[in-house]
Amino acid sequence: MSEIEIEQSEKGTEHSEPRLSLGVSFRNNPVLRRELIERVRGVKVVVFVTLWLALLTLILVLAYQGISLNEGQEIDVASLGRVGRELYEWVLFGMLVLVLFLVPGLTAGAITGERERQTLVPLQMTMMRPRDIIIGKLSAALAFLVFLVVAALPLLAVSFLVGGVTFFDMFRGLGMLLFTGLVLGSVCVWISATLRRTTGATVVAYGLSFFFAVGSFFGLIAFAITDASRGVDEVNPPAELLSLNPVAAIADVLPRSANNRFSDDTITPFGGLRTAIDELDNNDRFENFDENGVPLNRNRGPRIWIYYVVVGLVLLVVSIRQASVAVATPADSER
Amino acid sequence: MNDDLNFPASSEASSPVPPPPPPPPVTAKPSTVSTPTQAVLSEAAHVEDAIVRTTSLTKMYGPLPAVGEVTLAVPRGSIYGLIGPNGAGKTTLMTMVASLLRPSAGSVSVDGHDPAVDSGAVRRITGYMPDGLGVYEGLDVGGYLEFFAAAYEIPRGEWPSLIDGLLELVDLEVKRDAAVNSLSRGMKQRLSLARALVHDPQLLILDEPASGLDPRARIELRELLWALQGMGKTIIVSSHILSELQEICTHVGIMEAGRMLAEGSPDDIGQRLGALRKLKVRFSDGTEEEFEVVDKTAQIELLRRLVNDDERDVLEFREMSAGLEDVFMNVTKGIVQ
Repeated sequence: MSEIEIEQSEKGTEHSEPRLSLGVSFRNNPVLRRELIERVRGVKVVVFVTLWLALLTLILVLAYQGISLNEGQEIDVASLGRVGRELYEWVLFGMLVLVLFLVPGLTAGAITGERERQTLVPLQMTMMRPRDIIIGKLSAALAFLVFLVVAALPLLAVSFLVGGVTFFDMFRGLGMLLFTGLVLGSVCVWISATLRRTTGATVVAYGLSFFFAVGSFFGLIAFAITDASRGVDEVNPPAELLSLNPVAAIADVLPRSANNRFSDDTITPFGGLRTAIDELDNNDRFENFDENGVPLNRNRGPRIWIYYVVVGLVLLVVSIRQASVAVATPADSER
Repeated sequence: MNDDLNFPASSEASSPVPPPPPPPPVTAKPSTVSTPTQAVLSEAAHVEDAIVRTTSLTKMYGPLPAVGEVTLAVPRGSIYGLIGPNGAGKTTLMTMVASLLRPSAGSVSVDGHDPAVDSGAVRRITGYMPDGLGVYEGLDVGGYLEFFAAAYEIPRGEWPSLIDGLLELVDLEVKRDAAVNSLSRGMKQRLSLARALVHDPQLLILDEPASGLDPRARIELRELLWALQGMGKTIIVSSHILSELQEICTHVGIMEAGRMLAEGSPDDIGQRLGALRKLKVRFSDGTEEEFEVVDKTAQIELLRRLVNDDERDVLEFREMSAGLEDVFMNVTKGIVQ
């Protein structure tokens, strides 16, 4: 479809009264309202939330047991802060893994489901613009995610009892988690709008989620192998490869240990990744010296999480636009 | 004898005295009928107040025309039946009129608006009910209609009276709080019709609305369509079952293999094709006779003559065979694409 045709498709359902498009897309969006009603009705949601909390509780308990074993019988008061952070990071990591599992399931059937239920055409015949439909679907999934995160706050708050975590740390971690859910959800809705069947869309969406979670690591390994095969002394894959990785982004957005010593960092996947990111940065650092021959300090460019947010925002906008085009009418073929 | 009348075609077994053999029909079928695709029988050019008008409307899928150069005019206030076998292009034609599908060639006008350019204006005046039921199973009936009222931007304050009115119209008042998934197919069909009426459209496009309905539900639907026509709405309704449309349609378009073979009022098409209306008359002496007439005028004339001139009293006078079926069989070739 050409640009002009896309514009025409979008204009096709334009209203005569001028309005703030994004504001109206959220406010009084019938799709959002209906999705929320359908999602919270019945026992399904109770089972869902119970499972979600049970899994996170299990992670918290296992993390606590692991820390206890690692620290010995008595935990040193000086390391209590790190213990608190580790508890927080383990629960946050568990939430991230669950979100990467949940979001494709919540969004892959967003449009294909409407098609299969034969409700898409009646919806397309209303005065709702394609963008309103897509944003309604996406915001419903995000709202459900926020609901799950809020439900899990008491578990995260356990780390406050031990210490070492601030409200700002929690805000940063959960903000990045929800942003991850939003970006992944938008791409999954795009997949759903493009494919015909929910089964196919779900498979592709889960594949994407898997790639999203671990693809960067495969990239790093591939770079490292390439470096090694060239006979480079120290393999040096670019840290920017992690720009698309939600685990790395959350690890990076959380604060480093107080004295920035790697050995003081948390023993969690996030702590491990922070170490890896800083190692990669340091590899570059030692190749660059100032005029006095002193190695340049770390953080030569924007942090990983900033790249992640920028790339994520671009993906979000592109996905919403492309999904809107895919459900716009008049279409060139019956879908 | 009136020239339009064809006296008894045959007699029933119950007839004690067989009537004399009938003279040959006055209106013979023209030879052109056997090759209907050579010349489209269309009244489109003569319809002045058309709410929908298409000119050479075409939709291609690859080299295959799903709809090929269809020209039609739907008079305002009519019930227009699109008739044709499965795969004839009826749904494709309707989706182009409803602004859901972009034509490959030709033009469509819905109340002066081009659906491909100004789909918003077309949707404000068009209610479309697709072949599938398209209902949200997780909502109750009232909630379902509220959803569409919101989607059509109807002010919230108007919802209660609007929904009450719609549910009364489709006879689902008692089901207002029932879950949509608890409704029968006929009820879901009526609910879908209510949904298509939420924004009070001038034009209703109904794709196979009676498919899968039991006889009672079909009769109810037919009465509902009459009621809607009485409210001034124009209805385009498709079906591949002629008997469904015969009684309700003021105009028909007969399609096959993407082509419009004949279009206009059933009487006019029948007249042009020479198809005859078959009538059965039962008299007070127990005899039954069949007649063939060319149109309604001739039918009235026959009834008047039988009542006034015939010695026997007329007990029953009814149209016997589907004139539309004859027309359909005459113009179609059974082509499937």
